[in-house]
Amino acid sequence: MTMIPTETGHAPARPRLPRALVPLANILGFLWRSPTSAFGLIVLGLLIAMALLGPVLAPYDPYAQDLQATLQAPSAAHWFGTDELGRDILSRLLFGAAITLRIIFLVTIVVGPIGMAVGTVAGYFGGRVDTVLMRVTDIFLSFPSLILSLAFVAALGPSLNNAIIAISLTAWPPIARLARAETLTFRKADYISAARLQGASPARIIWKSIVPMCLPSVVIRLTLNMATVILTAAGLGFLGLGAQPPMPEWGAMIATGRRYMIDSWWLVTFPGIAILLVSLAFNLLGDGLRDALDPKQMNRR
Amino acid sequence: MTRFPGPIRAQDPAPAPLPLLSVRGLAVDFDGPRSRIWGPPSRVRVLEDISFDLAPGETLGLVGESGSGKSTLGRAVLRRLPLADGRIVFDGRDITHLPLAERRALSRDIQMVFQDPYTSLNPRMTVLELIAEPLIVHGLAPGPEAARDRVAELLRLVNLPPENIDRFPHGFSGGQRQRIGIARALALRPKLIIADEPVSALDVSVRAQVVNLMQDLQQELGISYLFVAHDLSIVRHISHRIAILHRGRMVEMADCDTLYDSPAHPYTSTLLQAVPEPDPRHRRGTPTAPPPAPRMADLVMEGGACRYCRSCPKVADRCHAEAPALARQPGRDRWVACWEA
Repeated sequence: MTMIPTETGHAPARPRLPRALVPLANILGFLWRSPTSAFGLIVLGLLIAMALLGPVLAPYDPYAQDLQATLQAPSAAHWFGTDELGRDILSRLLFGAAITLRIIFLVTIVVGPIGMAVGTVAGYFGGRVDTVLMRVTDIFLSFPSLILSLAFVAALGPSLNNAIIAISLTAWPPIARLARAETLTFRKADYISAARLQGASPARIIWKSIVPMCLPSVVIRLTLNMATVILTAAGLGFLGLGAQPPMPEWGAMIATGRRYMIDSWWLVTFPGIAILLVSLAFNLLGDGLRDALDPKQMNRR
Repeated sequence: MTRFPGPIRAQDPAPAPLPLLSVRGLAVDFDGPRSRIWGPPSRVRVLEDISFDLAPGETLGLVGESGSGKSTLGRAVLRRLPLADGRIVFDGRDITHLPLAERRALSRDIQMVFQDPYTSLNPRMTVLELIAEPLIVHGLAPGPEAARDRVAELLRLVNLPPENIDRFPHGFSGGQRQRIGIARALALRPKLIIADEPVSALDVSVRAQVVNLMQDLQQELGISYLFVAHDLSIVRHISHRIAILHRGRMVEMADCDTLYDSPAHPYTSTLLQAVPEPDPRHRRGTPTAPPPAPRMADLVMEGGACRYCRSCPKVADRCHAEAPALARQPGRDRWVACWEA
């Protein structure tokens, strides 16, 4: 019989991390080894750095108007130029990073748990519970998400927070569907029967056995969804239903810059590039995570 | 012929030793095909009139072809299936109808070892978490760490080095995984373990190790086993008595040697002839091909006839008219369901 190799070979070389952080460090290490997901990590890191350090790094106050210097092309004084009210676009982009990050964070912590709870409960219990929960999900899915968000924002009133709520309300059904599908694949697995035979309650089985199994695909899906979330937020901002002026939200910046687009390309280009880069980064990161969280990879760690 | 143990009545003298598990007239129905699209599904009787006793520390082997209902019988005893008929008495307590909470509590006394050691262990839990789980569920430990000593003790009991306690199951071989599964089943100190083909997914080379381990544990802890299998040589090795199932009915039950040396039911003979014998001098006659597995439709339609009558070499007119009940042979500890035996 084969003996299990122990970890003593390489463990002492590295500083010991707390036990809970080891898998996270492993995943980051895995992502770092592939160029595309490394790019995603770098952009995400930059976004976080910008959000944290924006107020320090920004050369100007993002709200300070300078009507003497409106619509100035990029120059040494204003690297990314100025907008129609003379505000520095670079500073506004830096401040906008925090807003984008806030949207992403809030949408994730709302959508992940809701989608997960609905999906796993529906998948585990099946029958009538499944039918009711999935029909509700279908109703949400049957609207185009931007239209549904628009309806919510229209009902709630235009503001950034309402846009976040509206996006969350439209983003959970695909997560729920995914979690349900995942749950169905191992609901009949022997180790779930084993847990039941040990006398575990359904809540415990869902929490201890099913949620951890669904987590990787849900995390991947959430990451891939982030691009859509950012674009929806930008779209709502663009339509004037998300962040309200003078807030430096990227979508709203494009919306106001649109009128001057022909003569002053920098008004829409730089926020556009920022949105593009962040969306792309999340997509690449999601792809990388799909490989990193593949259960078959677990054997190598 | 006396009918095999009838209903348990208060005035009956207690048999010695008092059985740990008594099953009487057990029947299980599954949903079959629907006759009309929107109509109710037909009922298929997958287990019919199953009766047996299991003494403390005894192993009863359940043998039968695929679809004979041997795994279903295990699940029925675990009270994970609705029963169509019959009674189950465990440790002096009627467990035929139990509310959900008590059914959960029952898992302290009846545990299960699964067939496939690769799918029955949660891949995301460490050995410690896996084996501590039943202890936590039943409130015997607040968390995995508190159960560390007990888990290490259980690992030693199944001959696994306790140093592996923090590893994940994917680092173990099939035999080692099955021993983790056994340790998990033992955690609550059950009185009965239902082993659903516990070695059929394992390498031939480690089967004996696991079976011997189960035997040692039985001697040490006095556990009873309901050992479901289709490998006749392994069943013979571990079981005290063997029950043969055919299409949801028990056709023969006897102690090992009686059954193997002089099978009374024609189906038992067919099964035994199917066992490959390496030594040609000991060949048990020409093997006849076993009948094909039953189809659902067959089970629905079969009426009063003996379910083996279509393939039986000794078939008589009576077999088509009336199914024989499991009955004790006069003066012997052997029960057979056959008119010709």
